[in-house]
Order: sequence, then C-alpha cells, then structure tokens
Amino acid sequence: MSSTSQKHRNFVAEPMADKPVTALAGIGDVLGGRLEEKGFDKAYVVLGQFLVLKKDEELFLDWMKEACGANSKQAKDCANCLKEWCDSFL
Amino acid sequence: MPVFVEDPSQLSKARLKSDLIAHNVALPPATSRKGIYVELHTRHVDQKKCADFSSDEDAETDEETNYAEILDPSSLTDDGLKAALLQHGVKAGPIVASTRALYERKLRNLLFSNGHDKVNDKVDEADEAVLYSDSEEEENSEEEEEKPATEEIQTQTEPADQCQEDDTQDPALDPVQERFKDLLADTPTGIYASRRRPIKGAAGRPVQYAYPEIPLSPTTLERQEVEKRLVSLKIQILVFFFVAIILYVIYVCVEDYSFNPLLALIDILNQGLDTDESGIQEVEEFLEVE
Repeated sequence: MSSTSQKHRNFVAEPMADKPVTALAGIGDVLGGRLEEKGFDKAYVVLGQFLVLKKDEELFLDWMKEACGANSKQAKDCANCLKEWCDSFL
Repeated sequence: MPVFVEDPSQLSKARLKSDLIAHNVALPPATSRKGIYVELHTRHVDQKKCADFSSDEDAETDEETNYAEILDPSSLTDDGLKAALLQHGVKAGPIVASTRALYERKLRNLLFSNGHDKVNDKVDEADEAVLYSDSEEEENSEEEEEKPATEEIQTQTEPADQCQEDDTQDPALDPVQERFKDLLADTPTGIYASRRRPIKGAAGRPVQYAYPEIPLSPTTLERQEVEKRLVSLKIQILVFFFVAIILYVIYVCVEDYSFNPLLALIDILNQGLDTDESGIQEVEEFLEVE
C-alpha cells in the first residue's frame, strides 16, 4: 500500500498500552537501549515528549537526534508512527 | 509612522513589558518592580530612537551585536523565551526541562538568520528608495516587510505579484498582516485557544454525532481512495450466487446429456403447485422411468 513498515502498521493498529519503546517504528534495540537509559522506557513516555512538543515534527526530530542519536530516517519514521497513532486514538 | 516621545514612567508595566519585547530586550524576572522596567525601557528603547537619527551604519552594527548580547536565549526565563519565540512567529509549546534546550536552539537560529536579514534589509532599503518613485510607496513598504518572509517561505518573484494582487483585492486590510494571520494570533495577548473535541457523553454532555471536518491521516485517505475503486462487497456476493446457480444448471444439464430430466423436473414442480395428487403421481412416474 504505502511505504510504512510492518512495525509501523502494528503499532498504529491498536492502543499502545504498555508497549516498550522498541515497539515504535524506527526504534530498534540500540536506540531503544539509549532511550531507556534516559528514562524513556515505555512508548507512552516518548509519546509524552512528542505531545509536549505540540506534535511538531521538526522539534521532535531534533530531540530524537539529541536524545538517542537517531538518524533522520529513524526519527522521521518514529514521528510518523506517533503522529498516526495520535490521529487514530488521541 | 510617527514616533511618540513618551515618558516611560507614565506607561503601565504591561506596556513597558511589551515595548521591551518589541525592541528585543531581555525581560527581567516577572516579579520585578516597575522601576526596573522603566530603567530598561529608557536605556534600550530611547537609545534606539537616538540611534535612528544618527548614521544608519553605526546603528546597524550596534544593534546587531546588541541583539546577540541582550537576547541570550539561555539567560531568558521560560516566559521570556516563549515571548521571544512568539515574536518570531513561532508558537512554542510548554517550556519544560526537556523542551527548553530545543527552544533555545530554535531561538538562536532565528536570531542568527534575522540578524542577517536585517542587515540585508537596511542595505536594500537605500537602493529601493533611489529606484522606486514616491508614488509607489505602498508597494515599497510591502516589499521591505516581506523580506523576512521571503527567506522562509516565498521566492523573490512572488512579492511583486502579491503586492499587486493585494492592492486590487483589499486595500483596506494590511496585506502583510493578512499573510501573517496564520502565524500570529490576532488576540491582544497573542494567546489563543482552540476548542478541544469533547469526550462523548462525558459529564452529562450531549453526544455530538456530527463533528466538524477533521483532516484525515494520509493512510485513511489512501484506504478510502482504494476502496472507492473496488467493487462493493454486496455486489460481489450477489454475483457469486448468480454464477453458482448458472454453474449448477449447466452441471445438471451436462450430467445426463439430455435436457429432458430438467424439463420434467420443472414440469413436476409447476404441476405440484396446482394439485397435490397429480403432482405426486407424476413424480412416481418420473422416478420409475429412471
């Protein structure tokens, strides 16, 4: 259909509940580990950061790069994933 | 625009505060006495007015360095940072521990790019004053004010077109303001709130069945596009049964290599509807034949 990954589709299909941060699209083991070190151990905490930045993609990308060293593709995937989740469930 | 020479101590604290923001001066902590505001106001605002009357070049460089010095994002309070961002047309979210660094960085970028813009503006102003005649004053001012916007969004060719458009369409409304309406809220405090979608049926609220048009996510739009072009489910089921019946009829015909059994069957069924007895007899006959 479109260019979303299976991980993205899985995440966006249902409320995130207590999913770990590695369930987010674009976040693998390494990035997930770095985020967990900073205290972002669950997906909803990253969602919180996204919302506090008023769902602004640019700011969120900056934050991701700074917080876990994500490259622009990974950060963008994560942002899109969260944005779509918000469209459906928020 | 005429410049009123007002005694700062006669202005209200709120007015002083907004004046300071307008002149890119870092605000003192919110609980300061009015005297501190007055002092800053006289120092920076009045200084700026004097600078305008002296040579432009000196004022430029002074102001440019002043901006960097006075408006150091990391020394601003949360409110000050938010106000400074709003000045540059950025509606910032809550300035919290995790977001502060990002917004400071953003403000620095904006200041940096604006500082460069302002220098370019001043240089271009002088050229434009020579090139354009006085009768075209309105277009002149529009072009100057548009320069910051052109950096971000528009190309150089657009301002000329839009100037003419706006003049013909709505001379009453300031064209620049019109363009920036989306960025800057036109409330006096610069704060605006949009209504949140109410929770269905909560707290005795009536359930609102028809919501205003909400922009759909790209995935939903794609899905709808695709579904429009596919054949609907009901039609598919009907077609399926129809084809199944046809195939069954064909199968029955092909079975015996003769059409008779089927016709006989149909005849029996018809007659069975008229009278029961004769129908049963015929069925018996039919079965004996086989």
